[in-house]
Amino acid sequence: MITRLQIDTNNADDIIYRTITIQEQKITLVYSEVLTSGANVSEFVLKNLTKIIDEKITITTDLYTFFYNSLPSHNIKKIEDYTDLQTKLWNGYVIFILPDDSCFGMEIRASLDRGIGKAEAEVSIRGPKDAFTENFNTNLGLLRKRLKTSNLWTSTLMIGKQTQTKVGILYIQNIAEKKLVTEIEKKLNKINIDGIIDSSYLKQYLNQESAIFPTIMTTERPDLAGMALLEGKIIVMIDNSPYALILPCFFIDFFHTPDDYYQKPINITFIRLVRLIAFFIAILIPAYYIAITTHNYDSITTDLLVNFLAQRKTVPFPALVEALLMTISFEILRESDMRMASTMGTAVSILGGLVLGDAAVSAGIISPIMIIVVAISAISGLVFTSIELTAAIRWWRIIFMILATLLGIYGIFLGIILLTTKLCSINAFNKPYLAPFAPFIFSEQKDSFIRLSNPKTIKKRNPLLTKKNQIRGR
Amino acid sequence: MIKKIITLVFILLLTTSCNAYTELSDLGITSMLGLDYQNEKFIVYTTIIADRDNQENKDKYKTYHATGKSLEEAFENIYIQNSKKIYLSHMNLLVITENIIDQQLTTMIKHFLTNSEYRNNFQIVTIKNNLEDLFNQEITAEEINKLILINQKESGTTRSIDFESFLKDILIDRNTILPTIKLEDTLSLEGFTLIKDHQLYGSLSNEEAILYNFLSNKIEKTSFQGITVYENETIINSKKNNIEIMINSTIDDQSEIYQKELKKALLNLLTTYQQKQYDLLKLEHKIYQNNYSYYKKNKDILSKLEFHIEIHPTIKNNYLEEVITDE
Repeated sequence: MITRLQIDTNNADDIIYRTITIQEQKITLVYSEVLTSGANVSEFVLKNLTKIIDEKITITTDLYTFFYNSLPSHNIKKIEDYTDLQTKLWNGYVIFILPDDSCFGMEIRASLDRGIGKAEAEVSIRGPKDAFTENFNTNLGLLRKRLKTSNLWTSTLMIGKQTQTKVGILYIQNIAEKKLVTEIEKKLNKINIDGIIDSSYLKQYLNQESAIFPTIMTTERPDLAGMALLEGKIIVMIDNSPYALILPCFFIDFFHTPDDYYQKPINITFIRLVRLIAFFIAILIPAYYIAITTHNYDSITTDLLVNFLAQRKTVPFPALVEALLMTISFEILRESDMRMASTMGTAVSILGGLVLGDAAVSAGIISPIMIIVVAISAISGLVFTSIELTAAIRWWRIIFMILATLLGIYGIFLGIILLTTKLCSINAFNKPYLAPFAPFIFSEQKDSFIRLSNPKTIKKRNPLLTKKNQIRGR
Repeated sequence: MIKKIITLVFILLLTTSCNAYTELSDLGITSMLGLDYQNEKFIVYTTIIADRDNQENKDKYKTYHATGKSLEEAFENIYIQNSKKIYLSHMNLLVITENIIDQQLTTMIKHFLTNSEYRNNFQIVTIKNNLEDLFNQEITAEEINKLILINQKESGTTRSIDFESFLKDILIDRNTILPTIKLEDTLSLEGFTLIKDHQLYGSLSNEEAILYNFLSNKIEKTSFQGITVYENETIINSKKNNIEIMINSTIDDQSEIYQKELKKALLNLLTTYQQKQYDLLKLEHKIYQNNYSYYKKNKDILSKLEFHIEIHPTIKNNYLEEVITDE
């Protein structure tokens, strides 16, 4: 087995082979120097083995039982076969190869993860600040800390031929639908790829359709994940990824944040309505501006029309081209700001602002009103934490702009019909995406775009997510 | 499925006139339109907003004029002079001469009704002078509209009429009035122009216009023979051929003189136009609505009408004056 391993790993320098003779029996320790903690290996394995040798302790049972009882480790597992050996080796186990070629592994993983930090993509104003990390066990711990119930079940899979990434499906068994869990397990079991590097890899396999709008939410906040589990949703957690997947997600879920439940309901109602308005502004405002300056001049007052006329007189491009130029410039600026090191980020922002703002207007390339329109639209789109929803808004913004150029306000209305039809046709794991509006679920309206003040009134869970335990608090 | 979507999109594109696309810079936004009829030709004047001076926050205008045997020909001749597409939906004011009212009112109305680009919310006025005098000076539609609105509120010598209400009166009652302007050294108001049966009938002077506004309950503030009227309410009731007119006014002084003189002037106006067979207050229509049986039985109701006017002035309390007088 050792020879086979050496050949397979091309005699990798980081794999250590250490043979120890205990009572004339040769035991070979195999471990990865980079994945195991050297200090702990010395302290908990080698020290104990040398103690056994020095004190000439008699081994009366089989070697596995003896070491299982005597070595101080929280996790000792028997190794079934060569594949299992490789898996354990690359997961930070110290492999004990006994004289009869049987093996067992002792977990002495090195801490290659960063500590629990703050959520960076989803900022918390009032709520807990901890976030998931790249360590599966830590993430599971963060959830178990919040849901101290035996009903939180997990089932784990190893996905990826080369990466053998640990993927966990978490759910509260007396709330979540077993059918949904089974469906997710089936989909994950079907995956046949080289490796899973991040949770986003799994999305394309779990998504049922290629809709632009997301049906799976990613989160790095354990509080949001906990809330989702209590609703009857499923969490898919992936080792080496700080983002967990929440599924299924409805359209309304992307307008909610965990902080909505930490503040006064009346304030949250206002904020949610603002988010809804921001959604429509982000999609429609450039298209509306194009429509009123190319087709439907009579829908605005004369003063405003003359104002637009005066601003656009020096611009050589049609309104659609101007809008697309501005939109693309904004996206370029956003991308470069994300990729740029923070030390240069400020310079890029200033350059972008000056170039896109002042200089472009002075040069007569863009009109000032177009900058305002595209800026308001872009900022409104950034209200949402979900990158997929922001991307979907971007695409639909362009579709609406083209429709407005062709058909004016009539085109915008056609686009709205198209968008509504598309949203209604999306299924999030066989559940309608526009729930609780279509189909209309009265009990869910109390926590949709409004939030009622008394938590006692939001007693029932979403009937689409669970049928077996609809009343909260049971 | 995809074929169906493509077919649908193709049909939509063909049926929904996406060739209506025009850039804003190619649009000539019309602010004011003037119509005249001389020597059997229509004369059209138009003022287009060409630009805006952002520093002074003022609009810059350009005026065009053309003639034609028909209104459509005249408009086409304007398009020839202009590099921009004339856009009429934002028109604020229509100025017409007495010639148009007298000779081609029906043609003018037909033109506006058949052209879908016009909205009916622009104001309409008559002008005593030539249109050329008005359009050659830098007088904007906003200035004329404001002149009428302010006088409507402060002096009661005129009233703004939009095209919608003008149409309603002319098509249903066949008579209407239009505010009249005159340009001498400055722009001024000249009472009303009267229209009957789609033709020019006459005019009301500024004083007669005030009396007319009294009768039509359109006075907000005015002055009558030196007496300031702060508020006014006129109620007209009809019982067969008896027309009872009650006027409740708040004035500043001299209630007896006000009562006597106003009653005399109103009666004089009503009887003058009764003799001329001009239904100034559309009373026939009122009788038709309120007392159809009487209307049906009697012909020439206008000449049989008897007017009874009661005026109830209230002196406005002037506490300051009382205090000063007491002291």
